[in-house]
Amino acid sequence: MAKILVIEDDTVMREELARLLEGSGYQALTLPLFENETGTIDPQSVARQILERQPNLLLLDINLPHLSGVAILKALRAQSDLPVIMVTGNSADSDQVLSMSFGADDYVTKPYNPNILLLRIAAVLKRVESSPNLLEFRGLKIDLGRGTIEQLDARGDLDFAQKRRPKRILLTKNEMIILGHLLEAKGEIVTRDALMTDLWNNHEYINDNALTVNVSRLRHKLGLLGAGDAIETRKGLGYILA
Amino acid sequence: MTSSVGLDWVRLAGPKAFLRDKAFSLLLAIIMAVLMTLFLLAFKANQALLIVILIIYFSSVCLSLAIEYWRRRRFYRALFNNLSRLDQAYLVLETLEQPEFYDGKILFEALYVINKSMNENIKAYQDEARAFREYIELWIHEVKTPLTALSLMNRDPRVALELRRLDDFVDQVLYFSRAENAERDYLIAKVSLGDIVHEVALRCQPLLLGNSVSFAVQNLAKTVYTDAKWLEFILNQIISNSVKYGSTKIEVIGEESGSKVILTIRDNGVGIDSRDLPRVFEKSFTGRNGRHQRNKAESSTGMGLYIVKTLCEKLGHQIKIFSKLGQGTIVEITFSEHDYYLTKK
Repeated sequence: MAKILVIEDDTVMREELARLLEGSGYQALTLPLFENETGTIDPQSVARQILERQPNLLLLDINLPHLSGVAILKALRAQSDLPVIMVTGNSADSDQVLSMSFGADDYVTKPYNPNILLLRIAAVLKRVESSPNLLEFRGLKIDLGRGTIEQLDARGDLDFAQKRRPKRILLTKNEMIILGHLLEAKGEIVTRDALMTDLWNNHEYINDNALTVNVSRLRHKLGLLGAGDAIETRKGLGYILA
Repeated sequence: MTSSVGLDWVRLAGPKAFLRDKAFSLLLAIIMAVLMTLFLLAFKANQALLIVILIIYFSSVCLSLAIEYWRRRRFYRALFNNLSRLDQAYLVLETLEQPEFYDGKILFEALYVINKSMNENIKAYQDEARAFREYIELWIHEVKTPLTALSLMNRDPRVALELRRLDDFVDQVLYFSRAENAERDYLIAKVSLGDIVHEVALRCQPLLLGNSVSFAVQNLAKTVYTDAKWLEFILNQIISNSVKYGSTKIEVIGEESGSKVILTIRDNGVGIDSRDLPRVFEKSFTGRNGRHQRNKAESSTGMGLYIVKTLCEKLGHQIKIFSKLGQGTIVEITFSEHDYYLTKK
């Protein structure tokens, strides 16, 4: 389970972020910031405290009292490659440019859509772990990079029914995104909203009907490989890959 | 405050005006001459002597008037000439030398004091405006935190939609304050049009899906010189307008023509009345569509497009709007690869 450290001065925000992250299968840590005698915070010591907690990713607010998030980022980057997502308010536009140039991996702007935040976190973590694009599921080999599904055991079984099945099927980009998302959350319900956000985040600006059509096409294609019942609909909730 | 103050210096300070001003002195001089003549005649003075004395007397009067006029003429002509050439007439004092004649000195000193007090007055307003603007920026930054916390707590798509509207209104205030301000607080950089439209699409997603609007992009793999945040605000405003005025389909298309890039946002909403069209960028203009909103809560402030236009002007982009009532609206933003940006890079 990935550990995510949240540095945010607003208590309500911090708690809600932690709740959102815990609810999405991450372990959320927070780091209280204390001023020293001179009323300031030393970025070096904050960077040290961050690293002591050994998180997999840091969610860092850019505007903290007594200290800029960028200063923490700079101090942190001097010693570590820890993935960092910066959270910026809208008031200072150069924040983003600045934080990217100091080596942040991504940024989100307040007020952010929670789904987008989760997607960005997943994307950054994936980039770091460089998880393989090859996945296996119910005897099917799924290549997310090439957008194909293949039957894993092609030993030339004599079973007549199986012979008639095509061995390899190409998926469209939309179907790939949906299947990828469902595979990642295997056994959990994925809301239509989350799927929609993932599609939009991948530049596929489709509407509600198109999502339904894409899911049923994906079902049909899985059906050709004998896994037509893999995607279950949970009414009013979303889909689940079983 | 321009040259059109319409000061006619000849009428105000020309020779005629000067003589009219000196009419009393002239009259007095003539009376004196008459008295002097009578006096000399009574003493049976030589006629030649009388004439010589009169000539000397009158020439000294004329000479002194001429000198007096000449000194004034130099100062007033410079004053009025500079007044008509200056953009900001109140700066005229800086362009003049202090005059040497008596009333000129008084005028100059008085103008100096008046100018100084006006400058102080303006400075006070500027400080006030700046303080207010800084407070607004700070306030907006603060208000974004609870807004974000709310959107994190929220699971209801209807609430998400309202939160987004709230955020749009907050942003409108922020960009209004920036649009009205003379300071150059944007950052022109080379950005990808596709990336910016993508950010806007993500931001508008609940709005577009909530209103069943189909959204399509085309040919956006282009780079332009702009401020990314400002352009996001501009596009967000245009797309929100499209949705507000009944569109079911919005297309965003990029196009290159010469060294220019044109971004077109086309919708199939209610369109704009041709009588309203030339005025949509005016401040506080609401027009037919704004007044006839089905939903009172969605009524128009008339500020959105005004801010959009002002921001575009500051960034050096051209914005045009075409529309046909009942058919839809097309907004075109032209980005030119201007030398200005290239040298500032």
